[in-house]
Amino acid sequence: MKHKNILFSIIFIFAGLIANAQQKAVEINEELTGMRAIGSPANPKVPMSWRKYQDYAQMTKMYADLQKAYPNLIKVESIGKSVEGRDIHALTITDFNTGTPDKKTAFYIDGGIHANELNGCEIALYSAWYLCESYDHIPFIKELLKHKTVYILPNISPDSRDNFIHKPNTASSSRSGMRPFDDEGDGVANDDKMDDLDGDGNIVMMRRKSKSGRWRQDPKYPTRMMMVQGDEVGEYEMLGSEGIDNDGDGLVNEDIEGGYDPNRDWAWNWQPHYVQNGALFYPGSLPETKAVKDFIVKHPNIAGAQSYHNYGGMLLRGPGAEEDRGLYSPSDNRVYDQLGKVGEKMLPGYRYFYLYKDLYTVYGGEIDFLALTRGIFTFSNELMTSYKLFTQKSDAGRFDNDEFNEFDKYLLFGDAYVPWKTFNHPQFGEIEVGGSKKNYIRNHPGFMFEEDAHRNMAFTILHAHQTPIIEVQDVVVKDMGNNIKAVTATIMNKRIIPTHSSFDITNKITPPDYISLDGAKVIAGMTVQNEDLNLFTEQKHNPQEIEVTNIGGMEAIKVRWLVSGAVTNATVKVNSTKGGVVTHVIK
Amino acid sequence: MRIQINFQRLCSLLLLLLPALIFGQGGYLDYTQMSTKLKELAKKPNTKLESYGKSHSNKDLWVLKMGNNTNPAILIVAGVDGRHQAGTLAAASIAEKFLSVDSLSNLLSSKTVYIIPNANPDAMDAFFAKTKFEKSGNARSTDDNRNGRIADDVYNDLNGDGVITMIRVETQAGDYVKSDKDGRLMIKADAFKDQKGTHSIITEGIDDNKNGLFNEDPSNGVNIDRNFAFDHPYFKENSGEYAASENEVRSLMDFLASHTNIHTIINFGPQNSLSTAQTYDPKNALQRIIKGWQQTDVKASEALTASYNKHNVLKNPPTLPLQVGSFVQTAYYHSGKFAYSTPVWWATVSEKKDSSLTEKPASPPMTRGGGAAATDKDPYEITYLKWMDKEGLKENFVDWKEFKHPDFPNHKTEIGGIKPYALFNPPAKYVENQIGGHLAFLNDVIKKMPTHNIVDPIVEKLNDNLYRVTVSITNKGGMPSYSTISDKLRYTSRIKTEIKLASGQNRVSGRKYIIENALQPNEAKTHSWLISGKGQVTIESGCNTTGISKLSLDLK
Repeated sequence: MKHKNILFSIIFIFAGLIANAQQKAVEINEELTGMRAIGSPANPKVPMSWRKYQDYAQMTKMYADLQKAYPNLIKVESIGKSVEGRDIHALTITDFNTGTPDKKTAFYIDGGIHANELNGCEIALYSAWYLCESYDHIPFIKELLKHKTVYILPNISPDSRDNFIHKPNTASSSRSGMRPFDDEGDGVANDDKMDDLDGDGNIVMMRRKSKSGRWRQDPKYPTRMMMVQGDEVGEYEMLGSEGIDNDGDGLVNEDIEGGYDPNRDWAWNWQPHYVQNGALFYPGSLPETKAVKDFIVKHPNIAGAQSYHNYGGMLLRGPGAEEDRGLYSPSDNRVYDQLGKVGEKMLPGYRYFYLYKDLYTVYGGEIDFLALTRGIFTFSNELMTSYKLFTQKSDAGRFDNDEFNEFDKYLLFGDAYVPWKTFNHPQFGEIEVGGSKKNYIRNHPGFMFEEDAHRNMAFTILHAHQTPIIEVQDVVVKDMGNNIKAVTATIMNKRIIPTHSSFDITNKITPPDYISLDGAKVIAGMTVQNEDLNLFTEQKHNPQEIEVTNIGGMEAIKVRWLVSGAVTNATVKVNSTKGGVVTHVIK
Repeated sequence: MRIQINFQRLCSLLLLLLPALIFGQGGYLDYTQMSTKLKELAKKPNTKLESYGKSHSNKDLWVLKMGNNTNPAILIVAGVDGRHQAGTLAAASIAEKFLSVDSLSNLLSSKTVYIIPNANPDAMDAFFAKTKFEKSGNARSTDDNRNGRIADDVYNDLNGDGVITMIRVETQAGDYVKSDKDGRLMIKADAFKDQKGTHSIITEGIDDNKNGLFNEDPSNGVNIDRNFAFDHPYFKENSGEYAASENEVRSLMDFLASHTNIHTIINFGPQNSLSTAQTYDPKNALQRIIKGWQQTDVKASEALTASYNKHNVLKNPPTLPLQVGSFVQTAYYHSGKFAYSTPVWWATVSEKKDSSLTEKPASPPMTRGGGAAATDKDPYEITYLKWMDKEGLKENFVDWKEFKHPDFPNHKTEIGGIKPYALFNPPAKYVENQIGGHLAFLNDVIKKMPTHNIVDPIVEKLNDNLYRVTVSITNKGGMPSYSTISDKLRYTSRIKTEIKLASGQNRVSGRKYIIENALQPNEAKTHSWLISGKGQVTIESGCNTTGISKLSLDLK
């Protein structure tokens, strides 16, 4: 019996060891019945479905849920109110146990400035969720949040997002904010909105049978209308988006909600409406952009930024206007190129583009404000591309491309289009309404969302990862005789983004980086141009604290102090607005 | 009895002047006194005082509204650049006089005058401070040398005289010399005229942060007149972190946007576009981003300049070009208002012998006591000093006096120069002397405003029940309905002509309303409609800068 017991005990111990080993190897979580898929938080504290687009109330609840689940990782605040009084929320995500969030190098993310571009908000939200849920599981994320702060403003045009979700819209309407304007100048604001004639929440197209019409129905996809060519005979005329002439002025849908572009309301090279369509009275006419600008200016530690848009599959960078091209130096362009090239690989079908050159000119856009007014390395991803439908680039021109219809037929089983139905219109008589639903084309179909969200987030995390990390690489103390010591500190930026863009240096947007020696008697201080050749530049004033204009990406700089007396236990401190605060005690 | 009345009048006059005499800075009013005065004025008929926003330090931004919000309006704005307090004084005086002269206040039945006497009230405090430097900005704590430390090298009143003037340092390394026209003034040495620099010039103070620069971070605040969006001087001195970053700017722009009845703006500030008219430069006026006045708008500018020069008694103005990021430029290019600027007062001496002064305008002032540009024309400072001497205001120049400066132990250093604010802010009586001429000018501007009429109505009966209605609209004023650039801008109140029908009538042809461009003086346009049915039709035409005209016609 006794032997048997011993034997059993040994077997149990072995079994236990084996079980332990297995648990470490494959991460079996006993709360799960299956196995965690690599790359995803499988059993999150805040359960989330990424198969729907959430409205303001749902998003607000999710911020609160995340804060409740991860009080040491995320803090939610309101930074202002929208036109209709909704909060603009900012999430501060970092390891709150490792330093002051506003002193760490920071990355900024926002989504939904164009509220019809729903997926930007969702990706911002996915990123917040992923960072919190992965902190304990993925050392890379833990390290990132130890050194850096991520500010996420998931929904910066909240009025229009709710308008888009809950009110009738096209895929492109509700891009504006909700401040009422008299678009056609008849003295009354918003007096000819679109009309949801069939009451289905989507504003689609109106067509009417016409012997002189120049349109016909695509025989393959009935909801698709094609223009006839040459002497072909058409069957229909197109009458624009669903609506009636509500104000009786002979125009249909000419004074809809808003009527401006919040992404033309920013204070870099702002231009009025006749130059830049969508601009209002002056940069900052809107409470939403004002709140976001104030937030950005209040956080000079932001070194990199991403503003999500859709669509077209682009990694956009500035400038918005050709005349500002020269404001980006070759060295800054190299940083963008390095990130953009990797990004093209991480995001199949997406292309790295210059905004003004490869897309169109934008005056007074947000990314110029970030990059030029604040010196922040900024990308703006245009989410979703037709490439994703069949993982191939279509040869067809933009208006001949029928892949969205084909995709709807084979993969969505007709879910994406409203079939034609007849309607008796007060001005046009008998017409038909039909066309693509508001949440198709620009916004990902549900089953495609999570993958693209993750890829875009990963690109943004790469970008955030490459914001500066400053390290005091070494400190060499050399006896110069006559009781004078030379203390030479080498300070390295271990990432590709510098502490100051070239434009920042030229205009002193961000204060210089300060490198100080505390706890020693400093006689003189200098920056080192070439130690081997004895080239130094002395800083006569305040020598214990050397001002450095920049610490370049993957570059080391050296500073030297001449000190009398002991240096043991003196501290070298780097205080960089965009590079964080680092200290090193001399042994 | 008669004596008593006069005595009462005298008393009330004294009471009115008393605050100014006791508290005033040479007759100028501080923010509290100004607010009190405006509240008094707002008690007059047709007049009210509104706050259109708050300054950085939460002071109310006042607009005195004389007349209603529906009539076509003139806006007078002053004090946008904090260094110009004379404009604020002038604006308040103009309001007061306007309301007390019947022939002027009667104009308020059909026109409106808005007066914003101080668009940058935070800067007023510096004008009344114990130690004065020319502070242009609002109360924001700015980091003027952008090193992350606010106010780490401010001015220092080294000689304790309560004013920050200049320091000249005798040094072979200097590039300044005494002006041969007035030895008190230091000018930049012109090597091509064999001038060899004898001094260097700095503002009064020590190098607080020991970085070799003097007074480079006085935390001057944001100069509101450099924070507007047109041609915004990014990252330049006192221009703010970005365009329209300041409450004062956004509030003023919002005021313009919400008062589409404003036709013309007169700005009182250290820029002059009234003594000399705008000129038409096709290169600037026709480029994608317009940077020159439109041809038709230049005509309006010429008309106003002629009027201004006729009514203003002061001649020979110094050249004071319009500035980048300024209110007056933004008001034209971004808000579409006819916008002009004048400093109201300037120093001028008309000695017959000195033909250079009567014929040529003085060149732009650079800095007080030093820094005048080397040019053939006399710098404005020379003119100012002559005027000052003539008027017996010698105290406005601090005579150069040696001072042992700790940062220049081996050099002779002297403190002196024209006092802060003096160049364009004379004692109040000189500003008051300008009010009459400016009121006459304002009266003329109001009379020149567009007059929108519906004329030559024709009703043709085509058959029993069908009528053709034709009218013309025309502008019989002395200025366009509004600026031509406004037709390119958004949310302008444009000319709208609308036909309103009686019940039972139908519009068979013609639009319900027509929206079209501004009418130039004497320009006319014709519209016609086919109307079926008998009864009265009413045609309304105009816009907020012209007022609306109505005409009713019987179709019978």
